[in-house]
Amino acid sequence: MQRNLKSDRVFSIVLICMAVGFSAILVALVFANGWVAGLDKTGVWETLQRTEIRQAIWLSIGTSLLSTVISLWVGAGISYLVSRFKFFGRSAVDLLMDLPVFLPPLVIGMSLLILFRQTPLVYLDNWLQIAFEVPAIILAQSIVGTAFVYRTMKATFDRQTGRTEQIAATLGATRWQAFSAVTIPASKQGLLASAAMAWARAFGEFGPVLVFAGSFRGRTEVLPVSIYLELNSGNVAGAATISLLMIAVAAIVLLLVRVVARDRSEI
Amino acid sequence: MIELIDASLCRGTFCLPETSLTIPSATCGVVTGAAGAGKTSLVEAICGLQRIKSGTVKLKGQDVTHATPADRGVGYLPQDVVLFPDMNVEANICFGPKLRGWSKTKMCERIERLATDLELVDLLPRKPHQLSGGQQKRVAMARAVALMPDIVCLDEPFVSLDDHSQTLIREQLIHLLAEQSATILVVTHQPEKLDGISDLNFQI
Repeated sequence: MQRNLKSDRVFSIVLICMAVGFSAILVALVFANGWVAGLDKTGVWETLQRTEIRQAIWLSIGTSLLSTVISLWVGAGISYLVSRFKFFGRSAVDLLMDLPVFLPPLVIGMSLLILFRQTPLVYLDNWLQIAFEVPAIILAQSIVGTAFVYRTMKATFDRQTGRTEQIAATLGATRWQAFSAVTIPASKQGLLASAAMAWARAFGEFGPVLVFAGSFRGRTEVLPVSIYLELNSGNVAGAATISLLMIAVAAIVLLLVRVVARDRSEI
Repeated sequence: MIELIDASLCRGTFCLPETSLTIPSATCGVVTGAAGAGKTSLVEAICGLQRIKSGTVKLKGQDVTHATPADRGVGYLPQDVVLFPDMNVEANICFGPKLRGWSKTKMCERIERLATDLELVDLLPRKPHQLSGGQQKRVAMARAVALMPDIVCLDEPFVSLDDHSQTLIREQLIHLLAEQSATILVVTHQPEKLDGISDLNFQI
């Protein structure tokens, strides 16, 4: 009895130490950025006021929001298909959808670049101007975002079993009506979680964006690319300032998602 | 009229052998059978939720074997109730009428009638998770008959219900037969609850 109690206490202490230690590392990361940014001779505010950084902020917000919407549509659609329908190649689709999560980010960028510049798709690219332009950023962000949305939404749809859709069908609903009026409202939590994840990935996407969209100041420069360019030019304080901004935006979004998720669960 | 002609179906490892039954218009047929005999599968085949392997399903004289559930127009009360979790009671009941484009006046009148008959008036703004099992079943009953269907299928409507809820559902069945001349199929373990209502008994 006494031995069990001691073992339980040790187990709890180990877990608490892990939680405290890891939280301390995360807080230290934020403070490190803040401390270095404070050394910025031009000043934090001045760095954020620079034209190219302001453009990068708006480009990051715009592309990440757009790619989140694309990821939600495509990821939720495919996950619904795989969750509800039986068709040839279903397992293959399920496996492929996980690929972007497991592939190294640089490989995704490289593959996109080869696909659009070294295959017959080059004609499409010449016409639509995708590579090394803003659409390349959105495409690179959407590919990884879609994979995250897919996994979360598939788990959500699998949990629902499709029984409500069957009952909706007996009341006259088409598949689309059952999906939009019954399944989607019942999947709000999953949608919110996947949107948050897709956005966070898109907002911080660097490797594929750098390779496929390039790092042209004021043209394809999103905030992670700004950090890279600032570091390349030796402006560590400027890079830390942008990092701090990204941390702040991510923290605000995370907080908003938590608040909305809590409200929804209380409805 | 509900007609099932030599219908057989398979669901996983379970197979229902060829079965036939006919329930004439404006009558109530009761299907009984041992647990796992395929009663629910039979009802779902009539509603279009399960495909039959062979045979024919006819509703009101029309062959609906390959028709979608939406095109069959069968009011269905499932055994597991299955209310729409994000809609309140009123929205659950209105789901069918809204899809069919009913006018607001017609919809309000229908809700008022069903809510009164099934004692749901105070529950209309509530979400399904805020209801008891008996209340949920009454809501599912109201939803199933909201469109005033000619054919109604009920799967174990009296299971785990208090006496009062059982009486309300029984009265609703009497209304359906008397006022709407609906054709009703009830799957139940308690056929005695339908004494005086059911005209035919089927054992599978």
